[in-house]
Amino acid sequence: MIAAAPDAWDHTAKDTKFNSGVLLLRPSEAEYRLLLRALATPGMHLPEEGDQPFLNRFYEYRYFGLPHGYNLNLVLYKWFPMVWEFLWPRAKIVHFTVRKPRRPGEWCVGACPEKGALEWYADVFQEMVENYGYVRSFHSAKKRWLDEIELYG
Amino acid sequence: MALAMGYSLSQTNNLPAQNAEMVLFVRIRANISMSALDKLQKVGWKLRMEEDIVLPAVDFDQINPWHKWNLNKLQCWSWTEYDQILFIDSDSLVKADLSEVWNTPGGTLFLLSSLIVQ
Repeated sequence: MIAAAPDAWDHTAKDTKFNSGVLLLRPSEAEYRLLLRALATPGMHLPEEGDQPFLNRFYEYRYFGLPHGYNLNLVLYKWFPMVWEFLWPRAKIVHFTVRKPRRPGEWCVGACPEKGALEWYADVFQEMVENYGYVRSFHSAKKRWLDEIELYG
Repeated sequence: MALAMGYSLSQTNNLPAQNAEMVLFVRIRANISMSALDKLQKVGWKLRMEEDIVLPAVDFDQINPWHKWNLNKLQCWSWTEYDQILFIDSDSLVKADLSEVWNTPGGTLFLLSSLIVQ
């Protein structure tokens, strides 16, 4: 069995397919063999695809839904801000789908509609740097990053 | 990415109390530097160095580059020393306690799966 939260896109906050970025699974040799056999079955995995379409086909109609807060999708921030606002205090895991985490200074050059969410990422990153004292070159990362938003954003 | 993700996980969750550990899937072929691996361990990751999954039916060069190695995720089903695994993409941050997820219902066997692969 698996459990996963619904995917989201610019056109829907609640897809019928799940996002495979957060998956609860129970390891099993039998299930693993079945997955590998299914993957080699025509139509189950298209050449350009990763794991997500395949797992959605394999587990169609028989996966448990996790609450959306287990995989809060960054795409909601821009396209469904009210849904994002509702889910934010309930979020367990925030998934940076549409804008991948990079060094904060390399983000948000140009238009950056996800600024608020990325600011939170930068805060967590900065806290980590201060707690561990390494990644020295990132020390002023947040400031540089905010400067860039002022310049370009 | 995995650095901040691991940090956020260790800050928001008491994993020993959940009888859980944080394990990072590291692709051997990615040639991650020793200093990077050291930092990952310092934020709490237990590193699990793995070869890429071998799938004769899949031509990895045809997979879109941004999820080229995502099928490695399937290997988690073979980690049978664990009862349950919560797989989390590294382009994420953990924001709150996850302990209730381990009580998600399940465990039912679905015969449908054997029909799909016939």
